[in-house]
Amino acid sequence: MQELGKQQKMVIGMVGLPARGKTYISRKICRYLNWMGFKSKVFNIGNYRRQICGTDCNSNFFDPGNKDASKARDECALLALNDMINYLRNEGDVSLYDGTNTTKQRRKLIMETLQQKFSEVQVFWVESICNDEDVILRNIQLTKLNNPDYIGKSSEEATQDFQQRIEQYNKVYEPIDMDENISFIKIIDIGNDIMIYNIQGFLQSKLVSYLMNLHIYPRPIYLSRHGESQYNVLHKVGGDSDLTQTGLMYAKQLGKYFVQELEGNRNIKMFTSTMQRALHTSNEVCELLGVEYYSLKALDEINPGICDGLTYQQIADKFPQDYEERKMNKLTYRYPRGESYLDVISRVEQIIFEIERSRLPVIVIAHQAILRCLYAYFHEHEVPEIPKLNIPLHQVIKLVPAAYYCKETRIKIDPMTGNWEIQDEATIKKVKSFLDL
Amino acid sequence: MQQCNRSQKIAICTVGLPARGKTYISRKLNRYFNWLGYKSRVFINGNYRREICGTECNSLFFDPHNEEAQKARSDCAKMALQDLIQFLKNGGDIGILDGTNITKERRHQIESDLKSSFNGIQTLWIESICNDSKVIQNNIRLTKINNPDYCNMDSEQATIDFLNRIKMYEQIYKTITDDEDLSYIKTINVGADIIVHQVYGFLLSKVVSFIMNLHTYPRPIYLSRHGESQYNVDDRVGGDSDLSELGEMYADKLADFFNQEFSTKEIKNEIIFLTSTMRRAVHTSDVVAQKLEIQPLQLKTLDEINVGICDGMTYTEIAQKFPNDFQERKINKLGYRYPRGESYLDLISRIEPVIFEIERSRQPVMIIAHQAILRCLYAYFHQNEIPEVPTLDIPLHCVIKLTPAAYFCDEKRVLINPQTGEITIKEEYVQEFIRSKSKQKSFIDL
Repeated sequence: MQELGKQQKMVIGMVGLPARGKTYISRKICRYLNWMGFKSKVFNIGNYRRQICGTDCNSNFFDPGNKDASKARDECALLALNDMINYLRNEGDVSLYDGTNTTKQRRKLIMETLQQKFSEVQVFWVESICNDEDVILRNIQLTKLNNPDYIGKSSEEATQDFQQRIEQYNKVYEPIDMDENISFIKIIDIGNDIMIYNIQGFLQSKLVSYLMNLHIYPRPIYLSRHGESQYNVLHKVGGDSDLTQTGLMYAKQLGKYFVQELEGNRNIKMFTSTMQRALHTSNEVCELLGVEYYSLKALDEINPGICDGLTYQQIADKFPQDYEERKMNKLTYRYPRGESYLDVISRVEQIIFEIERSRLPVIVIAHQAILRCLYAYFHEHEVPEIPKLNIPLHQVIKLVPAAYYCKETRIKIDPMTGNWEIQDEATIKKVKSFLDL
Repeated sequence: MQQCNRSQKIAICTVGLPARGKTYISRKLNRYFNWLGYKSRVFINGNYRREICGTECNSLFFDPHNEEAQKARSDCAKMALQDLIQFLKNGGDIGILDGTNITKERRHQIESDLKSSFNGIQTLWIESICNDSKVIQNNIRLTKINNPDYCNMDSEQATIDFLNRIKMYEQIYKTITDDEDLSYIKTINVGADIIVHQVYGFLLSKVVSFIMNLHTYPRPIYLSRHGESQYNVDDRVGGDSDLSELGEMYADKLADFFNQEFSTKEIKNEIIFLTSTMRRAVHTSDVVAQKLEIQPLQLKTLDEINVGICDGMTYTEIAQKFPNDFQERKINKLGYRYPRGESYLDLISRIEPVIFEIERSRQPVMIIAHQAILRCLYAYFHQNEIPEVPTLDIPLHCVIKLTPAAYFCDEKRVLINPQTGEITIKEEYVQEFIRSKSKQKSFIDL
């Protein structure tokens, strides 16, 4: 369906006081759009300001009365805007303008500049409003204190300065008004209230649905493949084969793992596919846990069409051209009468919504290609990497969403002995520099 | 996804002055839920009032100071709510209460009645606000004049009386406020502006998306199968066969038909043209695309139902090789899933995004696809009962033109002879209110 949204370039402008989750929201949107096939990038005005004005800016820099600083900040905003337009002109489909944009004047300036330089662009505004002091304080602690602006300062100093900075912005804050004649969504108190105005087009409609499902509950997501299947042993693709003895043992050990991990909590959501190997694995787990699973066709393994039941060697022999084609472009290659990874991403999107929406722990027991797509969404992988991601048998991937990334832990479970080996990739904090979002 | 989200009962109540599209929204939502597989029903206050108080109610009946009338109306509303509660208790999933509900007291009463009748019910209030007098006039013209209340008046009289009725309601109208502690959606001026307050949950979030995409543009939707394929000739299921000679001829004549149907280049460029990724549909679409100078979008979502292990077989062969499956499918064609394949229910789930797209579009939509797919799409627009879906008649070489009108869909079938190009037109105009006048039809049966 993505093609429907590709007809126009789009700019998404964020609006809101500091510590309202603008960067969190823009990064999530960016990740979702990239995963869906829209080339997107976030342009964070704060980063431009840090590059140009340095990181020694205390709250006085943000005083609207400070003329020099205001001028500098305006320049940064325009620089970011220009880079954004260039990105759209060259390779991008969607740019996200991540800044406070808290005055009507600034928003008007952006709209006019965009219309001047790039008339065929759709603009959509996302305003985040939050009045809950606890949430704001938590945001500051989670994301601001590690900010380059506050290196070398104690956390009390930093918090105080940041709160003063918010006050400076508050002096001139003008929430979006309908008479500004722009398309927008206002998210108030993390989705308690939502206002939608003048939504246009496929992509904006989808984004609104997506944003309505977001929350900040740090619930864990567990991904696991089914236990080893007959076809795994025979190195065949497709089919609806059952578990081997080893696979069955894994299923039981997996159940035991979850019993310990969830500590008696039965309030979870479990999803699996309609294929035997996944169903039987899930059965074992559910028996031990005392929960029920949902069996969804959307989680069935990628359909290999005419190659169903063949080994990779047989495919190479029988269909040498297809074999080569798939090697070169594993992402878009569609098995004749079957699917491509892109088809799978499309199919699995509804599951992403389900997982995002859920405030309960989620367990997904599925298949390699499916989990590659799901995992890539949570881990911000480049889409072309998806077909090569490492999702081996007999391993649970535990993802816990944190501020701007996902903490990942991998638990290798030995089907025979039931021993666990925990690989704590948790601290692969995606140390991307603040500039490189 | 439906199975995941059946735990709670849901009650949806409308709020708004007359002629604000409450019944339109209720019916559309009801249609959508039933199509997705939920047991849903609409309970219309107005219908209860008509049955009990008669249809000779002019605007004075609605004067808030007319105590007798007020009591009668209040009793009717209570009956509607009670029937809704009973429906949910007897296996219903979603009950929709279609009424004005414009006072805080009334809303509070309904909300507490609902909450006290069930252990865990989700309630959602949908308020439709409209300040555009053109839209209101149009609504009155399209839906009220033919209303049983006005069958003895001419249209001018009816309009005046109805506008007076609205004035009666306006005297006591209070919009929903946050202190009422209700989950609500306000849709203003046909979805231009939407406010969502404390709406959580799978289905209710979907309701918001659905309402966002609704509009009242009467754009046409054209559905056609691909031309006759080789497998059609051989009576085989599945496969990815190409068009037969007859099928190619149909593609040609179909292109001619569409060329005539869309007169200008502007209109042609605006068409939303969707097809599947299967040869027979792609080739049919390509011929049409060439003639109209537009491009179709090939969506795998529109591929024909996957028949799994029965792919390439004739029905006789299936009956011989898999007699059990053959029987099973005959008994339950809707839920039966071909081994390694799909069921009609899977299809409905699969094509839901396309339904949203069609609802959202304000331009003509043209879909060239397959029998099972079109059965599902057609059933959605034509409010067919879901069990009927697998047996709906969607023949080859026929274009079905649907034009959504107020509460139903105008349907026109254009049968095109592939060889001669001769066109036969069948108009099937569903007049729902005529049906509703018959004695058998219960006032809650939508």
